Order: sequence, then structure tokens, then C-alpha cells
Amino acid sequence: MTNEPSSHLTSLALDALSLPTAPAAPELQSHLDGCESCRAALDERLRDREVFLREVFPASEPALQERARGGSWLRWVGLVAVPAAALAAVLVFLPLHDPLDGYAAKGGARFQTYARRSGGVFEVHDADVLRPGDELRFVVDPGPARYLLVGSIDGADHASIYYPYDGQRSAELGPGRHELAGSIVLDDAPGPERLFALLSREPLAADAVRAALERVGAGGAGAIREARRLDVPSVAQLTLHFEKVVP
Amino acid sequence: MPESSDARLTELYRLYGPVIYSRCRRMLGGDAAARDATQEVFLRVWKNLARSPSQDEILAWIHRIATNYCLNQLRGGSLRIEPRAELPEVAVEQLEARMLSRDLLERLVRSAPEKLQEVAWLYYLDGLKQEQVADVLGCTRRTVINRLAAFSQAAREMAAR
Repeated sequence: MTNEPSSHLTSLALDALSLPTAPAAPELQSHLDGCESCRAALDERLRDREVFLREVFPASEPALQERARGGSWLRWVGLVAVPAAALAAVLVFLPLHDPLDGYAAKGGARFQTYARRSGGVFEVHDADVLRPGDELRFVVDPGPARYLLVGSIDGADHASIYYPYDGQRSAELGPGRHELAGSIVLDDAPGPERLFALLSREPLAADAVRAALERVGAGGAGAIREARRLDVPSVAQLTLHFEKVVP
Repeated sequence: MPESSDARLTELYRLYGPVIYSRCRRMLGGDAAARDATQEVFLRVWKNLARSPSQDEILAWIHRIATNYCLNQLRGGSLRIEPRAELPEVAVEQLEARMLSRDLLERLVRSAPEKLQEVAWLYYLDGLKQEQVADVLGCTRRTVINRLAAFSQAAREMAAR
């Protein structure tokens, strides 16, 4: 299997063929005519090209220019922290990754949190230290549950509903993995914060969840660090806490 | 950044962005990751533009920047891992022939042990020669050969499950 592969065009050759400036190359065209696999690979590139020019380029080119000038990522995505809340929800897209570990429950439910800082993205694990300005995004697999609500309690006893952001009740999710829309931006209030992903068969009322979060928060920083469950009915509760530290 | 530099960056991004976006999407396995990676690649292109090669070679140059960026992402644990259960069933004896299937190859590479993924990707999916793979990864050709052999074994084991 370690013989040099020679039966297909290289990735670079296919990329070159997908350029609008690609010169005529009869030998490559001849290969494409007889190779279904390479034709499919080229077609995929051409489809991606259409998507890029139609959607990605117009949305990202100003941001690229801004970053090339040395502007901050936060500025180019138009991110504004909401001073009244510990965190702000914004609709931006962060690169999401798929590490092997995460926070899982019986039945296949899974909750993963990612942070973006200075252009880098990393998964947040229990007790990790985060900084003001870090942006968080969530990936959830609800397993057998149908509804999801993500809530948080921080060291200032401030309860927040992150998903659906400031919603009144749990949101319905289909089966499988979901990259939740929107992200949250950490403010500069230091201390512990605990997230709960509450998976249920029936929607949970946000007010009841908020009250349960506040009961945890009333116990102080230690209770926030130690809490593992909220007193609400659910199929599964997936939780992690992080420490917010101002450098 | 002078206005003409703005125009140059836009020109490169418009011309080569689609290729790099497509490559990043295939390597990283998702649209959102590809969008972000494409931006990061072109920032690196921009910062190194003074060292860029001639127009004839610029695609290969950007291609290599993208490859290195994505491989760094993969090394950072960000590769999209697909469940092995979703791999199509392939008889072990058919594996050699089926390695020519790009789709199957991609899934096998993504399911392989992390240290083998990058070598397998560059060799089998990008079609680089062993020496070229060694250049990209900064290792010896012997290392490339050894890892390809290990990948081959891992692929057989995955297919045999």
C-alpha cells in the first residue's frame, strides 16, 4: 500500500483545475473523462467555489481586511458585550471542533463547550480558567431527549439562560449533534460559573430553571463549584464549571 | 495597510479563497471550521506576501500554508472524528482496491490514530510523493514510510471490524 499513488490527479492539480484561470490541459481533461472519482472531486471543488463566492466571500472579506490591518476579531464580528448581563449572546460562527472527550450521559447525550480566544479555539473542561472576552459556544447531542435548555449561575449569583438565549422554555432539538447557534462573551466579573445543559422530554420553564440556578448560587462560590444537579425534572443534566479570572 | 495592499489581498482572496475554503472543508470536516480556517490561511498569506513565489507557483504556496494550518488544527485535536460504526463494511481483501475510493479514504484517515492522519492525508488524499510529505511535515522519508505502513495496518483493522 505504500507504493506511490498514481491513478488519480493530485489534490493540487484538481485545485488548479477548479480555478477560473485554469489553462487548457488536454492530458488532465483526458484523465477526467475517464475517471469518475476525479470528476466527483472536481465537482465538489466547483460546488465549494460557488458557495464561497456566493456566501463566504461577501460575508468575510471586510473582516479579513480588518484583521489584516490589525483590528481585533471581536470588532470585525461586531461583538458587543451587554453590560447588564454577565454574558452576552451574539450570533457569530466560531470554528467548532470535534474532540474525542466531552461531557456525556447515559443514552448518548453529550455536551461540549468551546472557547475562542485570540483567534484560537479550545474545548473547555471542568474547572478550566477562562478570561473576560473569551467567547463560548456549545455543541450538544440530546440523546433520547427532545428538549434542551442551557443555563448558568455565576459567582455574583446571576442566573442566565443561554439556550435558547433568554428564552422562556426549552428549545426542541432533533436527534444527533447540534452546534448551537450563537455564542456568549464573558464579561470581566471574576469567579466561578457553572453551566447546565438540561435535556428533557418536555420543555422546561426558564423561570423554574432560573430559580433552581439561583438556589445554587445562594450557596456561594463553593456551592457553584460543587453543584452537579439542578432541582428540575430532566432526562439528563450535563454540567461543567469554569473559573473566570482577569489576567 | 495601503489601499493597493487592500486590493491585492482582496484579489488573492477572491481568486484562491474558493480553493482554500474547499480544501479546509475537506480537511477539517465542516463549513464553519472551513470559513474560519480560510481566513486564518489568508492572514498568513498576507503576512508572508513579501516572500511569496511567482504567480506560477502561488497556488502551491497557498495550498501548503493551508495544509500546514489544517494539520496544526488536527494536531490540536480539532479533527472531525467520525464514528467508526459509520464506516462502510469492506472486506479486508478488498481494502487495497477500495483505497482508491476518495470518500472511503477520507473516512479511514479521519478514523485513524492521530499521528497517522496527517501522513495518510498528504499521501493518499493529496497525492504527494513520500519526499514531499516529509518536506511538509519536517520529518524523514523513513518516518513517512513507517507511518504509511502503520496507517495501512490500522485501515485494515478498521475495515475488519
